[in-house]
Amino acid sequence: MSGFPTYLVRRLVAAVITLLGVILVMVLLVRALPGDPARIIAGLQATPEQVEKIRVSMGLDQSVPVQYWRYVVNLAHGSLGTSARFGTTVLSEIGHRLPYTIVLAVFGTLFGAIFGIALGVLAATHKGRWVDAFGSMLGVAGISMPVYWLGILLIVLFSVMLKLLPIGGADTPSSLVMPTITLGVFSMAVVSRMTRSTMLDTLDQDYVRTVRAKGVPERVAVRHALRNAFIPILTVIGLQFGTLLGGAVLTETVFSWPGIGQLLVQSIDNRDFPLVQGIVFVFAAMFIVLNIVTDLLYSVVDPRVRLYR
Amino acid sequence: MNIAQPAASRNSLLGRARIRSAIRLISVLAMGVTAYASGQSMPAPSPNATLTIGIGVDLDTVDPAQQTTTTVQNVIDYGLQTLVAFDTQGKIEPLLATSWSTSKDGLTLTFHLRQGVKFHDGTPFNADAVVFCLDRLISGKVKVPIGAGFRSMKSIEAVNPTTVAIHLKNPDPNLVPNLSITTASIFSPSSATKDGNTPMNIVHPVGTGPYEFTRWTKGSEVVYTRADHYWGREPYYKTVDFKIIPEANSREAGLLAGQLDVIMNPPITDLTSLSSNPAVKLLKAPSDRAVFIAIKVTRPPFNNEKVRQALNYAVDKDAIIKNVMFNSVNPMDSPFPSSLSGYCKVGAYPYDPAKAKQLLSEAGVKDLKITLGSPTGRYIQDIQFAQAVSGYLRKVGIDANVRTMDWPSYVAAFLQKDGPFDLHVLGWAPGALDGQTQLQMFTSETIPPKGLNSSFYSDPKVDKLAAAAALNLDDKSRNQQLCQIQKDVWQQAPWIFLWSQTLVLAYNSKITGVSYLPNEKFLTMDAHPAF
Repeated sequence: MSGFPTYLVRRLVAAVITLLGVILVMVLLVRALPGDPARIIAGLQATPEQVEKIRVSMGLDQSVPVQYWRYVVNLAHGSLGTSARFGTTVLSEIGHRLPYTIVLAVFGTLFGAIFGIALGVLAATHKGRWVDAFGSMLGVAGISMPVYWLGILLIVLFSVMLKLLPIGGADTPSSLVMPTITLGVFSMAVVSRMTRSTMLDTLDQDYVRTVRAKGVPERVAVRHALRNAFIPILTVIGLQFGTLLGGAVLTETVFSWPGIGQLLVQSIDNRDFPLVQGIVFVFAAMFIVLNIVTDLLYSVVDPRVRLYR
Repeated sequence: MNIAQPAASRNSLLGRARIRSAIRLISVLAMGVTAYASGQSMPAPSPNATLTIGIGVDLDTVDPAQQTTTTVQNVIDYGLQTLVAFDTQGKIEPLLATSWSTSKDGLTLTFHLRQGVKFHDGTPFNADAVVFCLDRLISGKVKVPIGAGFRSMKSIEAVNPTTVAIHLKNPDPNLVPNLSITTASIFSPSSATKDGNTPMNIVHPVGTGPYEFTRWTKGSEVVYTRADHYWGREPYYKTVDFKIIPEANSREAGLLAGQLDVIMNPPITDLTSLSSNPAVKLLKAPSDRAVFIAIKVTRPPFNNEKVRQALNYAVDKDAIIKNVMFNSVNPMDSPFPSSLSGYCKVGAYPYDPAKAKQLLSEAGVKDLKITLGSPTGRYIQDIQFAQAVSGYLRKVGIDANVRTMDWPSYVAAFLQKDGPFDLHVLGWAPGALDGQTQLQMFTSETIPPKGLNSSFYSDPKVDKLAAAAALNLDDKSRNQQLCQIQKDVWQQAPWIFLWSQTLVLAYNSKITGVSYLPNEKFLTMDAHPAF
């Protein structure tokens, strides 16, 4: 067996090993948090017997290797355990909340990619002119503006003053507008800066000069250049999607978006170990899949890139 | 998790009168406040009106036995009811029980139940339902995080369909008020295996209240619909929609944008601007939550009473209340907040840095470096006022480094005798408005790990008085015992006594009838548009 299937199997094996490592780190780290989880779940008024009962039910009376092994075995059976606080399965809790975060991250990424690339291309093709300066200014603003501040500003403008959009929640499609902008602006700034610099590099290449010398219209030349500049941009977009997925906590809080970020914070506060571990595991798995998909996309964008022999 | 623990006792006449006068005072002083809707005539129930309430707490359960926070209780209370309840003036009233009596030996409490009441699923409310729900609190099969107030119950017996007898291990003057807490709500036993419910975990509570639980979308909202055949007076609003909005600025924006009708705890820094906004009404409700800085009394030099008193004299509480708390709290003049039964005014530690320095000098303390712990966002302006306190301590020569942690880590830290904090900020609210629960902060038997006496304060005289008060069924002598304890504790100063917190509500000025209970809960059963 050679070529693509081998490559994919190799990547998947590496992914499983990475995930086993993630679980180990997770089990160790979660247990390093201060505060007795059994006591927190049982409540401060609970008797020592009640606390002990919960400790046993959470498996915390076992050694770390045993807890690790049990987690892996349960995982192999498709179970991430039961939430200590909600009393429901971790999978169902994550299943309820994850789609919201994914939707937000996808829209944030799309916003960042579309406006970021457009801005970057405009800046590169108008280097040194006001469009470039404006793009730089937007880039700096997008990177440095705190999510929280931008979110509140948007709410004041669109909800309080213009009365156009809901302040939060996920009831209607319009609920998505402000969180998308808030989350996407950072990504837009990063993508636009990356697009600008790679486009400037590419536009200086000989083949672009040749294309221009042949009298091909500028927009066609730019299209050629963009395709060649796309790999680093794609990498940034892929990484940004991961960042947005994990970094949506603040946005979710400001806009009361019922995503997994809020759930993660709540479960850490509750020392709900099974839920914390489940969410971290799912995030890790998504990052790994995302990395594989991004790598695969390289070869689609640029046939010269061969990921396998 | 809230450090709001149940346990309670009867309210004395004295206590009631004081609570009433406090409420009257607040209703006059508070900015544009409608404290309660007495005297308002209620319009006919609306066929479709919705009341949207913005709350800051993301619910972790709707199971009455498993909840731990006052806000969650507040939401659950819309659908579930208890045998007895507090009225707006802190007085115990009948609710699902119409009357009750205690046996001569104090070991049996008999409740006569309201007749003709049905649960929202159509099944009858009766003694079996009461036995089912109260037994859940003591069976050990269900997690009851704030269950200490029910430990005196030995067994619950259905004498007949309308009479329940609770047999006690020992006389317990606190049990009746404790039964007013949401933890002791009565829900339909036949619902315990339906709609995702299990006897161990209720996710769809079916009760007897004016509203029927409709849905809980985690992280988003909890919706209640007016019950069809409610036994009491029907509320105006057809639907009550609790929107979960953790961020205070977003809640405020929701109110100003007209998307929310009522919000809990608007940003404290905006109270002044909100109070001058004609579209908004503010309600600052006094609560039972004492906010204080506990001093580790076992740790030198804080084992010296003079040092602890010096800390109290060193801090200008009035200035902090004005400049950091925006006048939203009431200064403490006793270890008990004034809404608790058994409260008696003890005195004050006025701001007197010279006296503080003198006391420190007498105790031989100089160049003291300490750590002051504070949570962030747990109590109103907590880390901000901790920093202000640190500034005042510096003026008398104490270098207090403020340190914060996430809440569970913080709790774990302050419960350790040798933990990182010399002083730590804490709030404590006895949900059943009883002074006895406040004593959990001052008795030897509740020193961690057994309890939450996080200053590790211990005084045999206080212990003896507290033990006697716990079993004393006579209100008058019990209040005398509690008052003596307050004097002793105030003198020995295991805390820097700060203030009792208020529950702040902001709501659309086109609505009237929003009111509150003295245990940090709001009421909208009488709310309706101001015609």
